[in-house]
Amino acid sequence: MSKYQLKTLPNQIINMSQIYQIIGYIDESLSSKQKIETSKKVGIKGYIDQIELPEMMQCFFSDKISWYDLSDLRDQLDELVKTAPIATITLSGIPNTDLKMKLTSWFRALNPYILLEIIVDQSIIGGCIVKTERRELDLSMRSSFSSFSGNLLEMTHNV
Amino acid sequence: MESLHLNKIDSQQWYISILIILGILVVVIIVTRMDSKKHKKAAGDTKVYEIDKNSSQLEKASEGALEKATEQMTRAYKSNFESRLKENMNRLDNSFNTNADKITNEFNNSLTNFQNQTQEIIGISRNKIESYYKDMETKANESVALRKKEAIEAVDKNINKILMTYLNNSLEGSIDLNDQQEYILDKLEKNKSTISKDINNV
Repeated sequence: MSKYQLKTLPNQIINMSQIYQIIGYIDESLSSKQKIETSKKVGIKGYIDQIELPEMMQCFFSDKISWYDLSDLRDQLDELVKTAPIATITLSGIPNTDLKMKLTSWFRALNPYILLEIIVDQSIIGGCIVKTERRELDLSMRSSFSSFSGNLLEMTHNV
Repeated sequence: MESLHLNKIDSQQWYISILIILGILVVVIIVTRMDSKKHKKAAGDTKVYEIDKNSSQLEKASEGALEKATEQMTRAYKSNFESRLKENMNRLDNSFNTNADKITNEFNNSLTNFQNQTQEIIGISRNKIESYYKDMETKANESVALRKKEAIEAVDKNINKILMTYLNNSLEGSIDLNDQQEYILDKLEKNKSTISKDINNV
């Protein structure tokens, strides 16, 4: 049996709290494995098609999964919690799902395991601020206006 | 007795003769004296004349001598006086020169000291004044720079605040986030390289 390999995080999984939720679900599922096996008489392969995966879990698997796959996923997510890069994106409003997906997709193209934390700050007016472990990149309209007002001030100082 | 009587007569006679003799002597003396007076008078006149003459000559001679003596004395006195005067003048001159030199030196020293002290005081005063003005200038410049900085900061802060408040009030909520998708993704795309390096720790 081949080991389940998480090649990339699905775009539906955006942030760390979702990862923790999945880990929680997997833990719960694994603890009930014995009960399920006993009651439903799961086959040798150990597929868990008997239980309906939550929506957020379905994105991980395109086919039937075994308990081993779930266990492998659990291990990999555990590792991901420790090592996955996190980018905090500040937006001027609450993004809809489409924007979330586009943003996640864009970032996952750069790093397949990156997790995003989206926060809202209306004072940035528009655009976004991307904060990584290394730096904060201000791509907001507020920044543009500040530069504009800075230039304006410089002009007034020189007068 | 007789002898006694004789003796008495003899003594009277003797006495009379003595008186007579004395009388004669007196007469003689008187006459002599009168005569001598005459002679004396005559001689005296002559002598007076001679004396006068002599005295006149003497007077003349004495006058000349006196003049000469006076002249000599005067000359001697003058010479002496002049030499002493000269000597005293020299002494006085030397003394004056010595004292004058001393006084001049003292005066020059005092003047030099005064000038030095004055220059020192002026120098100190000038330095103090220059230092004071320099301090004042520095403080004034610092104060001006500080005020300018504060003013600029205040303007910066206020303008930013005003602009941001105005923009927030005017734009907040009016720009739909979904309308910004293109703008946001375009901004991200322009900074793709930087973001990629940051999240991959390259």
